[in-house]
Amino acid sequence: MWPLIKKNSIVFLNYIIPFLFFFTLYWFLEKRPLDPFILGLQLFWMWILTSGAISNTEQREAKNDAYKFLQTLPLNDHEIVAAKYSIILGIVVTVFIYNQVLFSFFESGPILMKLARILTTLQAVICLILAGFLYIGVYKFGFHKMVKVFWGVAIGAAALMITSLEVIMPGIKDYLPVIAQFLVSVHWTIWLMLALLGLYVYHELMKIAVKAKIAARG
Amino acid sequence: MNNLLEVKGLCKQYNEFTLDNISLQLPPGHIMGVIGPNGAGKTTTIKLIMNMIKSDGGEIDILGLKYPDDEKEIKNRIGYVGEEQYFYQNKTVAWTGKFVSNFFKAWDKNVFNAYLEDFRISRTKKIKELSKGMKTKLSFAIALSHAPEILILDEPTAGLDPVIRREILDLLLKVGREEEKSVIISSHITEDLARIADIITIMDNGKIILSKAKDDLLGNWKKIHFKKDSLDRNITTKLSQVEEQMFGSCGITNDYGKIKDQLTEGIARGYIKVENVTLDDILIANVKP
Repeated sequence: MWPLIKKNSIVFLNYIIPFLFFFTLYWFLEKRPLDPFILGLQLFWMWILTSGAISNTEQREAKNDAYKFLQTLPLNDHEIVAAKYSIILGIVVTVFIYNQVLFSFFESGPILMKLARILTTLQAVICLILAGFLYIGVYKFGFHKMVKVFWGVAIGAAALMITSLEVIMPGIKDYLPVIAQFLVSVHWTIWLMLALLGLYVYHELMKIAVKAKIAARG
Repeated sequence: MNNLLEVKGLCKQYNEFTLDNISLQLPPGHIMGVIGPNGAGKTTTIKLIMNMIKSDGGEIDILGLKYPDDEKEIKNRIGYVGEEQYFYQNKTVAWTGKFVSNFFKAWDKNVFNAYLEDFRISRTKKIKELSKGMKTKLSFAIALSHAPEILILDEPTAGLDPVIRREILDLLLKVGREEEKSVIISSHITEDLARIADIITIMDNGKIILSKAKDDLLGNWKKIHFKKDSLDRNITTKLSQVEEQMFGSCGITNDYGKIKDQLTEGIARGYIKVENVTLDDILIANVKP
């Protein structure tokens, strides 16, 4: 499995690391305090980097008919899928740690800082689970079909979110500080448990992906 | 003698094609050639043997091992070359060799390099820069560099020029005869199999029509040219593909050993002439139009 992880980890070198490096440089040059915009952007990047990495690797695999090649080697489907899931886990953990470290360098009030850390944790869990589902789709329907479904769902969800925010936002705007206060007041062990639960669900999704890949053998 | 590969009652159902109850045995040190027209089920059978597709029934026993539990062990001990070669196109030959070497327990770097040299494949060339023939040779180099006990080859010579085809067949003969590896090879090119195979298996329409030692097959299948009334009626009725020709008739028998004695007189008088058949003749005689 390690050689597969090593091969796929190329996305780290030519995609994740340069991106994070230049982004960090930009924030340090900007020297602005932590605000909801930066927080939102940082959370957004986590999902973009994860889905981008999946799309990038799977596009290359599809172009090379790599799964057919791997089928001729002494490898089982579990190892092939586990290597993919490990890379995504690596990306999410890297971006999660990156965000946590980066936030420490921003000036901010204690509540916003704590909220930033909590939201990054939540975002990491959500990213893992969405990535887990995305890979199941790739193995079940094939990469090209899944790309269409992914963009369809992403654009639809974004449109729905923008529309509903326009409608709901004025109503819930007053409640945002309450929601933030609630999130901040939750004990850290709960977030830890949530993160562990996220990892467990991700692992279970990986098992479903293995089954989907085996079934896709035709 | 334990068979290295034993397939029993293998089935696979597609919408418009059924692979029906395929059984095969490959003894050690033998080369089995699988022939048949397009769509006969050769590739499906080989893909099932490689566990590249799922079977709907039947058993596959390779070196005493079974899928899915022993998949890694099986693939460690077999070499596979398909009609299409799948590699990472942007990677070099050297990278490909190094990458696959991670997965095979018995990978021998020196053997791989020696094959690259023999085949005149540059280690620094990218896969996308290789011709189809070169890619096939690279596949053979990979398949042979981890000391496989069985080689499974699916139309490996299809689309290759005669020079490369000959080179590959010579290699297979060397591997089969000198190294005593067992080989199962499917091909449209019956001429290739006539050269190298010990056992011939004919498939048509998802079924095995016959599977016999090549020498027995070619010994019993003969083309008989005969002048009118020179041949016993019992024999004539058993001939297949009987054709009227300018100076008599011609037909094919699959039981030459049994009728041989009855033909001696006719042969001596020049009324009957017996010719060897090719695998193509046997294939055509067995395959329904």
